[in-house]
Amino acid sequence: MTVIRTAVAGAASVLLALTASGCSSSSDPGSSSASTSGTSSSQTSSPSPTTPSPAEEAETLAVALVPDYLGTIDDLYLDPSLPLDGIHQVAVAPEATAQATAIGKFRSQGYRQTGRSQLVSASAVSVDLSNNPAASPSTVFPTVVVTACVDVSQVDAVDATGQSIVPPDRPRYLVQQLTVVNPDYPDTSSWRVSEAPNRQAESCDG
Amino acid sequence: MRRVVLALAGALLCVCASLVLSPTAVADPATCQQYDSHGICVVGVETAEDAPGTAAPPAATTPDGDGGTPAAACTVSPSGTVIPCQEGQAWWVQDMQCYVEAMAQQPPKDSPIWGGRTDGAIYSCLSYTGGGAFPGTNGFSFWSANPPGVPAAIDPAQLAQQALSTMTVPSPTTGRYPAGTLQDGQPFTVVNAYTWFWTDPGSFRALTARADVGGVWAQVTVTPTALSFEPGDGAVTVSCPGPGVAWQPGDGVWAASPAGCDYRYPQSSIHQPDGRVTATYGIQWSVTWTSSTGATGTLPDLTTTSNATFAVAEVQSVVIR
Repeated sequence: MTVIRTAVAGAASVLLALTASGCSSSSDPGSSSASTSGTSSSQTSSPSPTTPSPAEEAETLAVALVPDYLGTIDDLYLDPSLPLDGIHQVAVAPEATAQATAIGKFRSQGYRQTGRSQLVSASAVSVDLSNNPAASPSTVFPTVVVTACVDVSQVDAVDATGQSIVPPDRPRYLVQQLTVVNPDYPDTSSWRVSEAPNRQAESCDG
Repeated sequence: MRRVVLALAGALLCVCASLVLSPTAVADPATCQQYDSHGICVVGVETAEDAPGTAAPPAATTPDGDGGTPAAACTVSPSGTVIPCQEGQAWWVQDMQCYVEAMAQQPPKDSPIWGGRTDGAIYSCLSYTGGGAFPGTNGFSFWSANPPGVPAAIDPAQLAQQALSTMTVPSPTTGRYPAGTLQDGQPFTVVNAYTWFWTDPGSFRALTARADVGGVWAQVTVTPTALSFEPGDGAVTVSCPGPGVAWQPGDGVWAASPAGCDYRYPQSSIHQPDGRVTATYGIQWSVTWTSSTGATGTLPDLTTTSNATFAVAEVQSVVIR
């Protein structure tokens, strides 16, 4: 059964607001104003009085993973001494492989990143707790789909000569649709990003 | 319900597609499914959607034997430096820009790297350093359903066929006795004598060849099973299980071959075209193969042949009183 969510559930919003703000070390006004977590915050003013359902809990954990996921990728770009296998703490194949490969190439070419991406908003749009690890030909794991908007305007990358390799017309935002799965459900620490397609955008709304 | 698709190819392909692009180039938005924070495309739409279940082209083809050249250049991007396609057991995956091999010590299945999968294997990806080094770590491990850089639908039997095509399977030599020469220089054998036939033992032994595509290989073995002799006089072909035995003077003129490789011409070849027969020697070969995937099989039997033309002469004895 798939539950469709159009907004972050209460508990998830709280966590998102916390983690998102914790992730944003920048005082970029765009970032804070885009803390559309404001929208989330308004929802948190009326928390559910009952214990969260498994679906709500899954949404909360999946949304909470997003800043960790973004932060891990930034860390791996920023510090080439960090083992790339660290990506497995936040992602599984194919996303883990895509990111590790991209970062490995980035490192091998002598590029360096400065600045970090800033999570503007994240919300769960659907949850499906079907769990059949033995399914064939494709394993089925509990899945939460999360949409997120990320401000990348503070991120720069330079080559060995110090020349930026970032296209000058790079849009400010990435609007992502993350598929977050839990291969070891109901273990709460096993949520991972398995896919994260995105599009470039000039605003989180567009 | 969402499914986590396990096909390597899809996964790897996304990666591969992404990595073909130079980091300094901006991907066409119409073909990019995922950008990094630098504005570089890291997952292309084309491979992710248009070719699910397929994988990158093979990094290299290295037939074991004569002939065979790498199917694709192995180069470091963006310099274009050509590097070996194989380093020990690891093979270069062009689109990933690293040497890949299955980890000898596979992590336990409950390790996060497996992502809950129980099939496939964990591979390592090591960048080319050219003997030098660049800052930081230069490798990682990843899960894949199939060896990356190898067509997902690779058929070991086809790989075996490829290996076979690199082999030179010998034809028989045309040993024979009696093997006299007539006055006009024409070789001959004798009516009713046991005409021994044999081939050089060196032409009658098993051979192997191997073909690799990425980390997948198939090894083909051709094994001689019989030596045949078609007399050329219209009689049926005879055969024996080995290469035959070369006649020696001590064997006597009228003895049969101890290997069973002989034939008795019942009449002379005087009525044959040019007064001679053309005998056809053949070695029959069975062809089997094994592969790194665990699959095994056979290919159609082979026969290699050689011809020998000679007269079949009557021997007239003269009784002297």
